[in-house]
Amino acid sequence: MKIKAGICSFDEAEWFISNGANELYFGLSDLPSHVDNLGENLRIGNRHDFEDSIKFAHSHGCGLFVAVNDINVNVFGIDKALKKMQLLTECGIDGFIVASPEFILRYPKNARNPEWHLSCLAMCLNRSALSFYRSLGVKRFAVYQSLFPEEAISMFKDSGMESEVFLQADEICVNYDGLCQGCGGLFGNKKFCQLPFSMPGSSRKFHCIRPGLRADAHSFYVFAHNADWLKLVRKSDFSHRKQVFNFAKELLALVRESKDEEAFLSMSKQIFLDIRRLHD
Amino acid sequence: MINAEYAAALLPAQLSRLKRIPDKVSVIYVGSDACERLLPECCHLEKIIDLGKKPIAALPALTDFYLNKSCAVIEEFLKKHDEIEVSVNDIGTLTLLHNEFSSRVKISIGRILCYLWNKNSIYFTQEMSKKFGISFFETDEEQTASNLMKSNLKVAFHYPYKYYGITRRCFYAQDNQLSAEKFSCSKLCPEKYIPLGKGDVFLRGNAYYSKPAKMPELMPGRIIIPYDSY
Repeated sequence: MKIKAGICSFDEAEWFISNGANELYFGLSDLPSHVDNLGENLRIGNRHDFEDSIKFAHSHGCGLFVAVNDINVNVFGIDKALKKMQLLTECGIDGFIVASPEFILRYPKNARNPEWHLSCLAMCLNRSALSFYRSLGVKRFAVYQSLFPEEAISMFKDSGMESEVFLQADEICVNYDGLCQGCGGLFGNKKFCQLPFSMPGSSRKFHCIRPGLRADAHSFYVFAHNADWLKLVRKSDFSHRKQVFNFAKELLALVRESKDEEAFLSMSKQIFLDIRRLHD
Repeated sequence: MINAEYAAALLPAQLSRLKRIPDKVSVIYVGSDACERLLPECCHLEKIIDLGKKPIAALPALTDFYLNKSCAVIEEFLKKHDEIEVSVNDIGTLTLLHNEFSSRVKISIGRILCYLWNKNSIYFTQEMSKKFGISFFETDEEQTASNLMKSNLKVAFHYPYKYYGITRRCFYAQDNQLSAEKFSCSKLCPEKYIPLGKGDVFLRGNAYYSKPAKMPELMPGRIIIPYDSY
């Protein structure tokens, strides 16, 4: 399993490449990206710096992808976004992570063809959806974050596409990601899904549950044996992401060393606990 | 002026206890647009026909296991009937039904998939409408409904609860996440919209809603109302 890491600057790119990342991805402030509102898009100084960075990444065998995965193309204007994407491809960007098929359908046919990766926000839950996207030329899909490994397993077999999964222990949305209006909105900055609720006439507290450590480890083990890429998010500070990257490498090494899942669960427990502590 | 068609939305378990249906209701959605464990079965669709109403199979976004199950239900229904309308909420279900059953399955785009598609340009939605012969686009957003209708696309409007979010970690089956056999959804999954917190949000099954959705200025072709809200 190879590692794809999210970056917010070219300094970060150098660190991840030097430490063994196989692929990097980032957002740009003038392209619709899911984490725009978090201010974590890459700031590019000028085209010269940008091209040097691409050369640096490629000279180390590392691919560079741009997330254009905010599905709200109406706000950004798809024509403007497509022009920018074409320019980025000419500069040497390897491809784009998209949620909307419209980008692929309307990308100029006479332009240099980028590699298309499907964002998990496309809500691809079954093999039929994969066939649809494969027919459009999508090369890789990201497994929908909240799928259990047992639900996703059918999608890996003979899909004709590469697959990637997020490190669920570090990032999982228990709601339909990209379709939830619960972050912000009625509940301000609080994450709606993390708030407990009582039912009328009951003192019992309800809330969306997060998977436990054992479930995190089980997911990782199953996905490590079935998916091609492990994707690390860019929604946190650099020091957090460096630690998560190192934990991810340790976990992958443990998967290779473990004789079976039970052995992995036992050996990896502390790492999953440490990942969880990063969020406390 | 065109009169809207009134539809009642029911969970499969509600259908078995159904006593009366308001006269103005001509269409019944059975199933759920949020949970794949609440799929309609052929007997539910047949029962609606027996009640003298038009059935629509409401399907949520489906993983492979439940997509196969849904296809089997539709195939069984089509052995006795010429056509069926199905409300779909993911692109995989849409393309599979279109490829397998062609024009015998009339497709309505469910509000979850419509919410996703509405983030594309209207040209995309129009293209998809042509390609798959879409009967209705379901939404609970006033602005979306207006935009679709201005583009000559038929709208089915969900009222009065507005979609807010769906969890894939069930509140009620927490101990049996993957075992529908061990957890009787039809018996234990609440059918009511339960107000949460200060009453800004309602929980029903695995989905959250806010209330009320605002009706669009133009009259939609169909209005979908939960059975309990009639």
